[in-house]
Amino acid sequence: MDDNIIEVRGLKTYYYTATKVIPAADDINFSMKRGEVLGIVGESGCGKTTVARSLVGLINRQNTRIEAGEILFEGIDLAKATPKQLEHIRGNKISMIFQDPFVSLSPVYTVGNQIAEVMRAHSTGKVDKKKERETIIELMRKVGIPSPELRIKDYAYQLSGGMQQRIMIAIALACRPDILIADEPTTALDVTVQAQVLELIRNLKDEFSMSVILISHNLGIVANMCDRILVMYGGVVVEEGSCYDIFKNPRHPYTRGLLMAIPSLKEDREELFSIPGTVPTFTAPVSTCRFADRCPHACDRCREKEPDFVDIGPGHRARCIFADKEVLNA
Amino acid sequence: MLSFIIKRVLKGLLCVWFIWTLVFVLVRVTGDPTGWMLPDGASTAAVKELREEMHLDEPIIKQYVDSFLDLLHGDMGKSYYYKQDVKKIYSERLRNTFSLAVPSFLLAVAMGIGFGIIAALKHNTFVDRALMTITIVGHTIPSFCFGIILIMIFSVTLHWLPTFGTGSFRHMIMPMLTLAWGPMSSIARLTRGSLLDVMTKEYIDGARMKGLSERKVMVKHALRNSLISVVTVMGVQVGHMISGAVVVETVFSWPGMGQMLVNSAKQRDFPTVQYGILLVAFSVTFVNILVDISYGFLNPKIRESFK
Amino acid sequence: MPEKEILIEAKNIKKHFPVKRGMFERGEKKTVKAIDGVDLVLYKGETLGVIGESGCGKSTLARVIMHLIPATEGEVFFKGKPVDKTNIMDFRRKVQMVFQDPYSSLDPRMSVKRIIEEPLRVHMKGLSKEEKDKIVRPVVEKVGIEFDVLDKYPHEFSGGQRQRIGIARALVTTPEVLICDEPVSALDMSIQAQVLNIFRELQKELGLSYLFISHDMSVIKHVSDRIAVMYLGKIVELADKQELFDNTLHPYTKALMNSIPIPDPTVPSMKAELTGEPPSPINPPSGCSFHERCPFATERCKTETPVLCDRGNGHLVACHLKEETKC
Repeated sequence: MDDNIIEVRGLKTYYYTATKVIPAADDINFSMKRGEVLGIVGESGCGKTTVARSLVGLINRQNTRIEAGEILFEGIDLAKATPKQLEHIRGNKISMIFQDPFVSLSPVYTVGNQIAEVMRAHSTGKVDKKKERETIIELMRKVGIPSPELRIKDYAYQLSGGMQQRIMIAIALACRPDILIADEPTTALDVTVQAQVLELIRNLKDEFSMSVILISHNLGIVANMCDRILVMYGGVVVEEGSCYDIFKNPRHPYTRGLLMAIPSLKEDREELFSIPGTVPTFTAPVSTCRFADRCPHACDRCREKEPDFVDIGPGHRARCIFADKEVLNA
Repeated sequence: MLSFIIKRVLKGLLCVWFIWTLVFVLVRVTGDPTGWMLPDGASTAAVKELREEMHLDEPIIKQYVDSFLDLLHGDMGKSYYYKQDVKKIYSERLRNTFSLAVPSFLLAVAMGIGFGIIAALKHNTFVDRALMTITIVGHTIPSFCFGIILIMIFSVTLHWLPTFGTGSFRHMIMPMLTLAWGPMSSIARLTRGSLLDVMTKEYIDGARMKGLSERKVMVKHALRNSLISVVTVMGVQVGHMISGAVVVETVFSWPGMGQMLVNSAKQRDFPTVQYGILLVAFSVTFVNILVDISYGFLNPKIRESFK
Repeated sequence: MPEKEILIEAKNIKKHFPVKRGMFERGEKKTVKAIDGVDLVLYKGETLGVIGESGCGKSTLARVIMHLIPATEGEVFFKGKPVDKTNIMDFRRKVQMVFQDPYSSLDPRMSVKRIIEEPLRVHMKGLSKEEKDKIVRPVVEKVGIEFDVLDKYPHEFSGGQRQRIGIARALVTTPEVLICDEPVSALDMSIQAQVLNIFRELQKELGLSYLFISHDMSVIKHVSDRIAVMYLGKIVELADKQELFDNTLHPYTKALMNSIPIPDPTVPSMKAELTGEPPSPINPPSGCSFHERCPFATERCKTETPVLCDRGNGHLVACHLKEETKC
């Protein structure tokens, strides 16, 4: 526990439809150290965003509920935090940036105004307008916005996508948070701009000595940015390990399949490996391995109960009964 | 900004002119007032004589040009029926209508937005459903029915309120409610709808992630954005309100211009109809200009195009 | 290369959109130069990949070639004949399109069978139900959809299956060319591989040619024989795949390649070589449209627009810095 900045234990966030209960995030366990970049990868609907939103209580909007589990952060359990406690933490201790910066910025306030808003929300005492403006301009300069004195009066629609995401980052970092949650932060951006924004996040992470939770469907981004990675599928973490473990020694058939399915820039493959079938949705409670229907190695044991984690090495584990067996290499 | 307003006003004037022309032509092609002005069974010669006297026998173009020139000079003509300057006839009527319509409109806006917010906040609860049922009723029941129902309940059965007349606040309650009900329902449903829509926008979560309280998120971010679409329909609602006033004034015998307009149209009292419509067109246009300007204040992207 | 048969040739295609002015905006009427002089050749049996960032005009190009929107200037030839009103139907039968979004490109109120049969109703009028089934059955089986489920509606299928349906619809008229506009970018990673494999199998089996548009360099590299790189409405580099990767000439192509995140932690990648973002095609920079972001730009680049010229082996590039050889 010692130097863990956040610790998630047995988190279950379920989504209720009229007829079904969908385990959007099921039995999630992880912890994170200060300064670490933790990646959560998976395809759409795997629960990666649900996990991130659960951390900051942003899941109340749909029929979604934290069913069980603890999210320990600075001595409080965020899973059971009061609205007041959450308000104190959001933007101040834990910040978040979203996929599409244009829709995450309010269309009717200037960007300077929106940066000021978060600073005012977490400062006590009177606002010195002039000083505030200087701080905002400094912050905008830090996130790489050219001529911030002019841009401070702009509205979101007047900025390009990359600039909008930089503003989102400025808002997120204005109160020097401990954790930055970046939910697909560059998916809406072009690749040359993506590289700029990711580099910015990496640099600011060091400068502000914060931890980053990076959610992405893009294995390339995760490989370049993260220290540790959680691979999610169907609401559960199927494999957890260091960046090197996941990419160089993947032990879950899903992780392996994914890595082989992406076209490579380095080598030419005639045919891509493809995971058969489609991404399913599950209904709680789940009593099989969630990947069994698409897995080339699945056997009867996989369908009897949900497999436990198998430890492979230090900090490396996978939710597969064959994780430590040679079978996978066949 | 100023040039935007000037252009908008010029456009408005053009619109008013167009309406006036339309009315001018329409009332003339559908008959003339000689029918009631002469005794039954009057000879065709008498009719012809009267028409000549009233210049109704002239080509419509000439009539139009003459009237338009008079209009520019501020001469609105004399009512055939009241034998008076129409401006004089309308002055009191106009005041009566405004004293009913303006508070009704404010009531409709205040209640509409209020109900809309409550319904959105209590989305999918009993309160929401109850409010939406009430507003559906407001949408569907024609205002004369609604007025009569009010009279049945509060005047006939309970004897609380007078059925007609002016003078005190008690006289105004039922006409105001009747007039406000329809627009209130539209505004409430729209506020609720657009607020619910805005609440799903990502910038609302963005605002929450700044650590703002739910109340601040609502007021500063959700409400302001949803009002943009509410404001646009307000201009339309003013138009509805004026046409509603005609009916409501009749039901409650309210001596406003609505009632007068209907009567003079029936009587082919051309100058009276034309002036009445001119007033209505003016006020609707004016409110819509106000709406456009306030829309610009709410929405920076529109403001940009003002420059 | 005389032995290669040219299927589609686009000559000097330009597409300018007028910018809608605000109600009271004054001044000169502006245009967006979505495509500004593109020449393109598609050979039989090959895949020509077109890559570029958003706003570079690649999707507009596909639509202009398909004659879905009229070109402002330029002509499209199919097998040497200019495509015009008289042969457009025949052209559309032989050249079909696969769209990006499998969710909005299928009419939600039509059964999947009707969707797939629709091109037949247009191009081969008067087929009986049995005749249509005879055509549709092998096509849907080829893309991996069971014939028995075709009575369902699009919403009952997943994204990957819908894209297969979109491909099947394009295939029923036995086309020779498929123009694919970002056909896999809306799909999940595991599904993307399935669909890419289908494209490859179809090409082998039916000898199809593809014009394959994507923003994803790894996908483009996987599918293409030749690659065209677009920037702000122009092709800036065009070469055989291997040549393009081994001998990248245009600084933009190089930056594009270097900014791609490679899924291998031991390979340093994703360098942010470029600053800024692609400029707006409403006000493209003077001279070389890339000069504002180019680390090697000279005075000449600011004023003079470079033309696309051959550097040997059919490697075309539009850059002043690479002009030492003949043009």
